[in-house]
Amino acid sequence: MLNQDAVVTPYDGQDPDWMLVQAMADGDVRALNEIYARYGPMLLGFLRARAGNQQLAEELLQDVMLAVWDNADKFEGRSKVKTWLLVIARNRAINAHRRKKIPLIDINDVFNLSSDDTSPMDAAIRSDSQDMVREALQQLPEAHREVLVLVFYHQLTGPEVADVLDISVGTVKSRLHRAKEMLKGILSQQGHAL
Amino acid sequence: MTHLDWQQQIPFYISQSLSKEEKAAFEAHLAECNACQRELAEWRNIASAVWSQAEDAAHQLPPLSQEVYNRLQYRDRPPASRYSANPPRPRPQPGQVPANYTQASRRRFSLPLTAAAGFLMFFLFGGLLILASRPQDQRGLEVAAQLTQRSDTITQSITEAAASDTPRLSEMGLIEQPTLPPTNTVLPSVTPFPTSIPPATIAPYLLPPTATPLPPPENDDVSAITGIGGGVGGGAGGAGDDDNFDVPLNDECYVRSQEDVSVYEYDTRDAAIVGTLQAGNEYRTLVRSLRGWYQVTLPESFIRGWVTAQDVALLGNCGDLWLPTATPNLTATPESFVAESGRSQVVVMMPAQVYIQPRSDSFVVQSVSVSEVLPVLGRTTRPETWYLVELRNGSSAWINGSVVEEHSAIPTPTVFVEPTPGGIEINPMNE
Repeated sequence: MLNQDAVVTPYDGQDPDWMLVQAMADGDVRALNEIYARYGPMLLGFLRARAGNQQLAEELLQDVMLAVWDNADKFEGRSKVKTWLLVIARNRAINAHRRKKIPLIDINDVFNLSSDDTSPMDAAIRSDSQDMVREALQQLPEAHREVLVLVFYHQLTGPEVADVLDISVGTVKSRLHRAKEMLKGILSQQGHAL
Repeated sequence: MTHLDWQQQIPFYISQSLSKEEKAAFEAHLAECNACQRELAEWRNIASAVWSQAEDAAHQLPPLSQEVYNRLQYRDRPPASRYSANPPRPRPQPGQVPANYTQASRRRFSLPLTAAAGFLMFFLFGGLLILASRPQDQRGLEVAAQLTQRSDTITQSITEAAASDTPRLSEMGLIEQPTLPPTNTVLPSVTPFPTSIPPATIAPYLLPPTATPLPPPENDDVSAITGIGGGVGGGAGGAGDDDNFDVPLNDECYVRSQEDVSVYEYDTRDAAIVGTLQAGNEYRTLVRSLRGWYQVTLPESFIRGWVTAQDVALLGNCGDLWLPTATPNLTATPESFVAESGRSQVVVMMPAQVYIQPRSDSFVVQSVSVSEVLPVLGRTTRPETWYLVELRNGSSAWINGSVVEEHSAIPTPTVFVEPTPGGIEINPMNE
């Protein structure tokens, strides 16, 4: 029987994320399961934006989880676990890119993907303009796309984004500005506006 | 602040990552700045597209690959903490032959074995020549003949294993630098085995069927086959005289069948058949369901499916497979998850699966049958109702509210006792 108290407050008020990382450092595989359950979707969303390909993002995610396991004993709690995970994910994506595993983005693949995983209801709800912006996002350089994802999907602050990407806060802001300008340019070529 | 500074805050305002003070200041400025309002509208469109795209990707989260779990088990780690449900397996110590030695794992021999066998042959033939030079010693000749026959058998088996496995394993990237320490077995150089399998990012996690189906275990070697979830099975395998040549083996689990058997989509015979397990071939399995079924991947199609333990024999260490259980505290947000004591229960109204998370695209823990009664440990109602239920083995999993009917309290069981004058019904709860 599951202990009700354990469900509600499993870690006695301590930061559950850090507890999980510590448990991983002790060799607890279940902690890895829980980190994956908690942060797997978030990391997959980031890797999808970074890699531009769902299948590759899923493969990278497996690598990321291995790296998380490997480095759990090196985590000192100086940043949020979420930030630490994103740094690992980004580094693994960069490594994959250097090994040429990340191909150029096939825009058709992106279109197929977005149509496959969308229910008819979702598709009806989603506006045309959003679809156009989504398509335009795929044409952005990785560096600009990942800033957008970290800000809007992961809701990181400017300094947190700077930590994850190892750039200055000023560069974060300039990439945001540049990303927006590029999106406007792409859409205007198609006769649309933001 | 300049206008540019205000504009640069817009993305963080939308993502709600500004501090309270920053947010209040920005909203005050926004009320008076038409340009900022236009910018805000544009950024909202971008934010919506970015969020929806990332969310679509996130919804396709696959189960953490069994490949990952497999690789974890070879890392240097201290003993698992008290939280561990599946601790890393200890490495064999020098000189220690694992109790679960099996025929299947012997295929991991490689070139060092061949070299060692060559040395062995050299010494044996040398001894044979000496004995042959003394024909009056019939006893010596008999011993020499036995030794020769035995060494021939050993060498042949080792050479065949190395010849058949080494190229194949090398091509697959299965052979890497050994990490296990050497052992003190008779052939001390024959210790390494592949300690890793292809990364999940590149190759499927299943070993393909062997080119030549392996023979069945010698003498129906029950010691090498574990039962359902049978823990660490078997004693030293192999046949008699070869025991001295046993080597430490990795901790993998394989299934093998004497006949072609069906592979099902879920761990029940009611599920669709997705393929066939070829007779005599070995398929690695890393996941056991709570029903005692084993998940395999068909190498031809990479389709995952389940085989029942009734249809297959298990080889290797099958007692430490990953057994998925739900993680209720993390799979529902605190706002929507309500823990319960387990006194409520649900009755399954149609054949269904229970999941590791409150999502139908998450890992299927097992199937449940109609009329099965499951105690409720908690529930979440957003975006739809899911119950966290207790399974018969004490673990927990999620079931969708649409396939069950809830009972608010456990009905008090009524027990009939042996006829007594008047035929009394006893309610045990009132005793």
